Amino acid sequence: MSYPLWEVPYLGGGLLIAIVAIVHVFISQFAVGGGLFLALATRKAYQNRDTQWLDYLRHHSRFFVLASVLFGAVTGVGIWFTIGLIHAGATSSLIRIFVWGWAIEWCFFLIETSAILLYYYGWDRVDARFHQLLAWVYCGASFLTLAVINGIVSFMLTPGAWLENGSFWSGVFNPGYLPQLVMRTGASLALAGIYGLVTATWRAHPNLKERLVHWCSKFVLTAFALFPVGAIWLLCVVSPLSRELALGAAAPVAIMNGMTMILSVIILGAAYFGPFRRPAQTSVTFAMVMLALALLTTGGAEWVREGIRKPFIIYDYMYSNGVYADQQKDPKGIMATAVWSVYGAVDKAPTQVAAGEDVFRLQCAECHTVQGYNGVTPLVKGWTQAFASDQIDRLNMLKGYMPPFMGTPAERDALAAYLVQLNAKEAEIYAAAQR
Amino acid sequence: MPLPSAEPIGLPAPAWLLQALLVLTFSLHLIPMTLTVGGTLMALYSEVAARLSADGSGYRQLAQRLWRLLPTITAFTITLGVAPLLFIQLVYGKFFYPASVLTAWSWLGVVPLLLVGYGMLYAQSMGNQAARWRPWAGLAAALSFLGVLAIYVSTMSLTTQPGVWRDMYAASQGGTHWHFELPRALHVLCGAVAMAGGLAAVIGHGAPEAKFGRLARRFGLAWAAAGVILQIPAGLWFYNTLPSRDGLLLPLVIAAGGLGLVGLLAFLLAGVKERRPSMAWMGLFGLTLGAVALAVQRHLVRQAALSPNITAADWKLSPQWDVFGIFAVLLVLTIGLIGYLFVRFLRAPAQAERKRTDAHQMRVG
Repeated sequence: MSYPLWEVPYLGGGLLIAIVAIVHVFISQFAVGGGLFLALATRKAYQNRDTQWLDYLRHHSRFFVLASVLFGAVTGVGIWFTIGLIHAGATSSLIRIFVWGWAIEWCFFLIETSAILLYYYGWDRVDARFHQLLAWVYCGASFLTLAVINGIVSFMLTPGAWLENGSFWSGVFNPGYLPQLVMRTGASLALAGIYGLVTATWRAHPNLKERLVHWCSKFVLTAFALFPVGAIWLLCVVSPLSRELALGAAAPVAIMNGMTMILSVIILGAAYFGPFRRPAQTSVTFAMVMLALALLTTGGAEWVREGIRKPFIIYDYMYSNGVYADQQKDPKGIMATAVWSVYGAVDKAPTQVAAGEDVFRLQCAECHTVQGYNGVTPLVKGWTQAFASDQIDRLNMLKGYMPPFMGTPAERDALAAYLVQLNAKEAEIYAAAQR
Repeated sequence: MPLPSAEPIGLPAPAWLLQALLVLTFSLHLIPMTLTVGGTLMALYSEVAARLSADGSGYRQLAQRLWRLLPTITAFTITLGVAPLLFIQLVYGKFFYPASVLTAWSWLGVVPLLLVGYGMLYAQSMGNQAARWRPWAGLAAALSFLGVLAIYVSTMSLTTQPGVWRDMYAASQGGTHWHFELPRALHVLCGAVAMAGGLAAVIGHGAPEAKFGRLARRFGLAWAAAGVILQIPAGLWFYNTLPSRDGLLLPLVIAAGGLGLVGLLAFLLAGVKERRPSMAWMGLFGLTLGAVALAVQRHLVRQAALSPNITAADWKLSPQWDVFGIFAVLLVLTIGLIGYLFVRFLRAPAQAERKRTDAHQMRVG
């Protein structure tokens, strides 16, 4: 609660992060898997002196540069900006723990950017050997960016021994590191194959298309050998609460989990019965549908990963609303201790509801909007003030994926008054109808 | 003053080291950043001048050369911008985060603006050279980058003024605030114009065609001169708005101005002696050093403004020397590898040409 909250109307901070993150993950994982795709394809083309392959790769590399260096890099910056705005406290903690990890990733980022730009501008300029070297340098550097960033992302869900020893290495190589690396590598290969299908059906020479489509489908099929292994492994190492949330304790998370699995099976089946078995019949429309399904799957998987981390932003260390897990209730209350409280105390606010709004901002608004995504208004419909106060008091006990309320009784009652009045208009209409 | 409390986790290295890395990586970012902003403005001007003048071939050629270079320069602007963004959050997070939240919508606006500006550069680089949309795409790129510049000025200047935060937040929690400072923006813009002039002069000296080379050199010299000369009033105006003007600040400002003028002089000499490309490179180098001096000056200003609000607890230490050591070694290897790849890339046409010549001589023999 050291940092100000940015009120994002209707969307809420969580959904804003999700939108930016899903787009970035979708592109950046393609950029990682696409590195291996590009290196293998370049080697194959030069070894066979296949001009049609080379011609295809020339077009594909233009698309690849736009996707990775333009969209990948800029949406990566977007992630930085967004998490700093929505979860400044958690971002600050992560940077203090992992700054050298990010600095190491930045070195690989510099290498991959240089290598892919030289590869792209190297057509007709550099010899085959150097061109292949550039592709392999890109492939290696891009995978290493994933290997590093995976340590930080997986840490947020399974910080493991870091909670006791505070060691950088325990944080990076946390219990979820390898399962998530296996999953993300699988996703990267699948996306490389699917993007490859799009460019192959769109730009490849007709004589080449069939071979190329079949080749791309192998990336998708290989990926699906890795993906379920990583997913099951991850479920084994997360906390019992996370596992329960994924498997049914929280309906939205479980539904999204199921949807992601169903979509994955559909992609696998489509890749096998389409491009792998009947490559000649694969069209650009088919490839685009596969791409759309892959986007939905990526979004679903990321959403589930975020969902099973509740009520924490960094598991067992910091709650989603910026409160530390070991933080004790301050008898002065959250309005007096939070730096960015508008009023500083319930009795200094013009009304109890205004004080409640301030408490809502400090305790709830990092996850909940008023009206919109995860909106609180429909959630408290029909609540009376006494019922609301009781719920707030025992929030973390009633619902496992909610953090505890850190305020005083006066702040709790102010928050309850604020929540109840959100549906006041509807309640009045209902009462009038009853009369 | 609503200052965030100290983080419970200590800094992973002493503050002086992190500050040095912040200034170093910001200086590295500053070079391609000014070339991106100034280069885009220059390419747009050349594109329009090529269409309006009777013999626009020189301008057209300059625009094409710039549009081809700019996507790569912008890629390095973004890539090299990541590190200072990381270090500023680490060292000055308690000031940076509140300022960015107060200006959240505009701060987040950097992302779509970068996408548009950078995307338009690729459109220019890859698109049809005769297309009618080119000036409009150039205009969109230039406006996007100017927008990014204005946003950075707004948010970063607010970072050093925590005294105004509480009233701003009480007025609105929606992240809609704007804290633009014209002198600071003009100061950066003049630097960008001068650097773009240096780039054009270097392009002119490397050009095999005499007519185009002359135009690019003169045009570059004019832009560099305009940038450096306009920097004098803009820089002085900015200097007078600074909250603290103690210590090394004035010598650094004088050094930056001096280096800018030395750079300009080198361009003049390079212009007089047409066969002296090394002078053009020296000119660009002088301007770059001037920009680096300004980056150091900017850090001192920020440090002076914020130091009264920094406590010992903010910079308590939990060092990670082993990981830092890996990063330091990796950074050296990275610079070596990238240098090797670029040198080999730049030599490639010469090697290809030599191979062709050898093959021809063998056939003749």
